Amino acid sequence: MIKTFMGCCLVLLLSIQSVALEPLFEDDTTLLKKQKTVEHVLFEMYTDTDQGAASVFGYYFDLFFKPNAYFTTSIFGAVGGERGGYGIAAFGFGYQVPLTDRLIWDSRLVTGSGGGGGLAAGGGFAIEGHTGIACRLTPSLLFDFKLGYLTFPTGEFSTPVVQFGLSHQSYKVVLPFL
Amino acid sequence: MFLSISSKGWTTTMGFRCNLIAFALLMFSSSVIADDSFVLFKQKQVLTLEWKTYELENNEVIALYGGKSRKFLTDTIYWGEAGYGALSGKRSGYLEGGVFLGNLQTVGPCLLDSRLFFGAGGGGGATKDGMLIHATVGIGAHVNTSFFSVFELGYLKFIQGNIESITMGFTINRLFWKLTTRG
Repeated sequence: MIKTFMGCCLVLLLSIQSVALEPLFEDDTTLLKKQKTVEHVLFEMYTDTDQGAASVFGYYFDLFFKPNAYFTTSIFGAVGGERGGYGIAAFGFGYQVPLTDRLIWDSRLVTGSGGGGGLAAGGGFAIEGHTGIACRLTPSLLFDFKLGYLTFPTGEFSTPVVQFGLSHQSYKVVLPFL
Repeated sequence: MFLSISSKGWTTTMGFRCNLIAFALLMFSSSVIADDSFVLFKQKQVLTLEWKTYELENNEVIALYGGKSRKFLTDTIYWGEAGYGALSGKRSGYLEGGVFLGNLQTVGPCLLDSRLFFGAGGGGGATKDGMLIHATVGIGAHVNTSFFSVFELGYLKFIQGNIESITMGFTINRLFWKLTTRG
């Protein structure tokens, strides 16, 4: 009964969603700005677990608030290493240093929540840092290779991390909330 | 350590990785296809980072943190979705996720935020029945034009389980306009 009621409410909310859209005023168009974003699809290897190497696959989303500084969110889930059900979600900050036209030194530090799959992650609080190179393949496509470290301060698990994958850089149009 | 596996295992693992990378390339390449005629609309939205704590069974305290996205239907009424993961306690892997309906009202210098959350929670061996309902009221203030924070008190109940508890939470929120097109 309650599930049906909640389902109906959700359908109603989704259906009236488009009513809540307002057209842009002429003043709004003068305030439009572009904001750099980078989406990463990455494969991470945990080199030091009690059952050998484990690996996770996931996604980072970087939102730049300065030309080289960004806020990042991530979500990863286990794909290898007898750790089915393990996942981690985190947010944090990063900074890029352009080295050449094609190479970027990229570092980030995130905190989050993780666990599952029988990993000794304590209460779940996770701290993870990476640093490494991003190589520009096209103006918007990059190859990432980073090394890092993951630790669960309230648990026993910690491991070096090897991370690689592809990134897509783009700009989105934003209207500042004034 | 990951290099010290058999050659067959290495080939299989590399093949899997190549598939993942090919899949990622396909996704990125499809993202550049776009329509060139459109009308922009805006919608008030809020992105929230939240920390909250409550008691599981046997007075076991758990703290979670997560994020939520709020989409405003009117100036004050919003709906959205949220997800949380365990931070402290002994329940790593405990998760909550769901949808909510709420009201964010400006009263003088303060913000009053009330919300009803419906979703599912569990993992980390904490509960077998996952459906939960969580009502909160909060008071907060603007930090600047686009950021505000809210302190919340609430009541959470797993509908078919034994867990029910008073909850406490703190949120940091960013207001922004989501630009979109119709159709």
